[in-house]
Amino acid sequence: MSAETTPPAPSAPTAGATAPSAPPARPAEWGLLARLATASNVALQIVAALALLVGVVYISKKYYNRYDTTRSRAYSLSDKTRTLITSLKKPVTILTLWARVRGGNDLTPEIIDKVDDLLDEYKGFSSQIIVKALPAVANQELAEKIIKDLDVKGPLDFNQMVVKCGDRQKIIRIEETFEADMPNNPYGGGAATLRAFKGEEVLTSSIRSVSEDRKMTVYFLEGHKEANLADSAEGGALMFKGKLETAENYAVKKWNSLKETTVPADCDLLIVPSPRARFQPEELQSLRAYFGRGGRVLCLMDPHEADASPGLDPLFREWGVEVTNGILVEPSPEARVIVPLMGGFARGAIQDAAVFIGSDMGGHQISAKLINDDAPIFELACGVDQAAGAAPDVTVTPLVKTSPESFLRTDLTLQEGRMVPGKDKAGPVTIAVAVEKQLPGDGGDGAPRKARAVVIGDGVQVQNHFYKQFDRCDLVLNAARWLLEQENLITIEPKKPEEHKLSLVTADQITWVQRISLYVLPLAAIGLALFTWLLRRA
Amino acid sequence: MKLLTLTRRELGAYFLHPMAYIVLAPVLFFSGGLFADAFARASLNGYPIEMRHFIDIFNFLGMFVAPLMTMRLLAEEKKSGTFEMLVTAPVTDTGIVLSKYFAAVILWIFFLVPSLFYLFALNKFGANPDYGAAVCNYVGLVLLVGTFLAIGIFFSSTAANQIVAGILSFITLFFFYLLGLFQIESKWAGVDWAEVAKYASLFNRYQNFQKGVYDTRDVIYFLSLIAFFLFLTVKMIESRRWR
Repeated sequence: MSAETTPPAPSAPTAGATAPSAPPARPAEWGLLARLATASNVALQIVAALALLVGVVYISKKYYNRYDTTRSRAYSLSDKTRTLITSLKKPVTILTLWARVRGGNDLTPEIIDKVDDLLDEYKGFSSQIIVKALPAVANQELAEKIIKDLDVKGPLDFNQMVVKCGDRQKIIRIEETFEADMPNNPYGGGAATLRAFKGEEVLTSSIRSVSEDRKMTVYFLEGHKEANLADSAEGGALMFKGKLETAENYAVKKWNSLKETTVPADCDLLIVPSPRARFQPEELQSLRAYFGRGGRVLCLMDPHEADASPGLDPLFREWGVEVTNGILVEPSPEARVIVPLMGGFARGAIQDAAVFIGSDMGGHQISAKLINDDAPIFELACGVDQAAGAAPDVTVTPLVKTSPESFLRTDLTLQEGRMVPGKDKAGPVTIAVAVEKQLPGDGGDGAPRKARAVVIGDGVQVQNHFYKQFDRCDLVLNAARWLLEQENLITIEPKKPEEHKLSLVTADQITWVQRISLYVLPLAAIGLALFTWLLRRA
Repeated sequence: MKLLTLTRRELGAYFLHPMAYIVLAPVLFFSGGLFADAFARASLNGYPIEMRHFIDIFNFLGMFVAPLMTMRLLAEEKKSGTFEMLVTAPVTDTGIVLSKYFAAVILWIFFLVPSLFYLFALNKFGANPDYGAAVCNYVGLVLLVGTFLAIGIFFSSTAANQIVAGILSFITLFFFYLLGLFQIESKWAGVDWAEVAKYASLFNRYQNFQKGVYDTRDVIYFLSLIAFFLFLTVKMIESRRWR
């Protein structure tokens, strides 16, 4: 036993980890007190080490850095997002309602993973971002408690996110966060391919929308037998109102143009939902004045009896728009929707063909992405097209057209199920248009002043029965976003996924890879075990 | 220098013993099975295939392998009596612990080497693997299982029986695994303990590495835990002087 291995004085028996080793036998003179003192000393050291551990971890949690090593910088937030979320003054809670069902060609589980990864980045950059996940199946009680605590409003569905800040909220559907190419296989099967992931743009825009001080106000015009905002019956617009409030974070109000001659000053968007009574010249003047000062108008028009025109045509002509009264008939089997017609005055054989899916979505940002399962459905629609001789400062863009086989029946007394040449207007027929008018002066930030309007030839788009039957309102919501210039609150380049697919691999090559990974490598380990065992025996 | 010599001695003990290879074989079988399955499905269905999709199994396997690798390190030496010889050698207790720890980590890195074949296969068949993210995955696996090994060595120093040491370390690692699954909202003294539990979960701290992201919080958490458990191990060895 060397001197360096002798235990030091009892007061400092554990001179640290660097002290030389000592034999286990302790000197006889070590009494109970000395051992207790040593034990206390060691216990103190351990407590100090534990405190140091907690302290270091706590500080590292507050001050940290992240380095994204992926080639596509898949986990790096843009400067726009970082600036926004680090400057948030109020907490923003993001509630996810995921239902991962793997299999098939559905991209949803992959997108959910990507959104979750993205939310981790948001959380990581700002303590004001709180992410909560609602359990999909288990623990209903907890789910209800979370929804209640967060005061989330409106009907929720799986695979949505609710972005909430104070009393404002916005609902994001998972489909809004990506673009995909569907498999081009007529017999079904095959995998959908992710074209672009737009999660960051959508999330950042939503966070900005709910955290902004001012809330956009949408007015519904009334006084002409329009769809009533407070009405929960089939022809009311209560469900659409709820959608605007909960999903889009808009304040929704009513304006009666017969009682008030000017559009309210806080009106950001005026919706004219399926008017069925005639407008007075003063009312038209109010609408004209509102549009002329840069107003935003969304008109949803319906076919009407010849003597029941709302009389908005003079206004539409000024916008470069022509609304043709009649019923659109879509005989194309690709576009028809087999559902019973709820009402209206489509008669005879055309009744079955008056509910259909729009065929040509054009290139405008309102409609261009509404394809496949998101394509808009129309029911008893009329024609809305660009008028001849529009003013040069007005740009009219068709949004949706019917198929070439369709036709517009303007003589509603005809009973034929087929197109009657000379009487019906041959397809394709435009059903919706977007109007933009340049106004004199500056709109702020150096941008030109402009007025915007969208006219859709289908008033049922905002009605309750349409929601109950189809739950498809993307055309109207996209139109509202475009009118309010919220289509891209913040523009962030979508992330293009890296291609990690195998090139053409033969069955032999698959077998080769399987044999090496499943058999050769483990067997090599067993071989080495045998070899060392034999070596030790020898 | 002494540390290097001791580490080499420990490595020799590992590599010249069939046990290391017996543990390695199932690790390769399970990881190989997962890769073979992912590879076949990606080939036949056109699904994308990335390293992170199948390398995760190593963190789960590490939970079983680390106790097996460490349980005999000190417990067996105490049982067989070689521990006394070791501690009377002119090396510090810290040197003893570090050499055993480094040897175990090097053995784990050796366990990971065959998985480079998966990377090679992905590259050969055009899956365009992201090497930056793959390296990050491996670094994460070394830190994660390195923490498992530090915990394992600590329990090996506490128990005289290697089986007991192995079981204790596995229970502790399983506890860290369960922490990540903590769902119940539990606020007490102004702290959301569910969040604390999730943060403390070793497996949750590995997730950024899995994606290809180095986060200083994760690195510091792993290194702090490794240092803490190695410190406890040194204290355990030292305690034989005064107990």
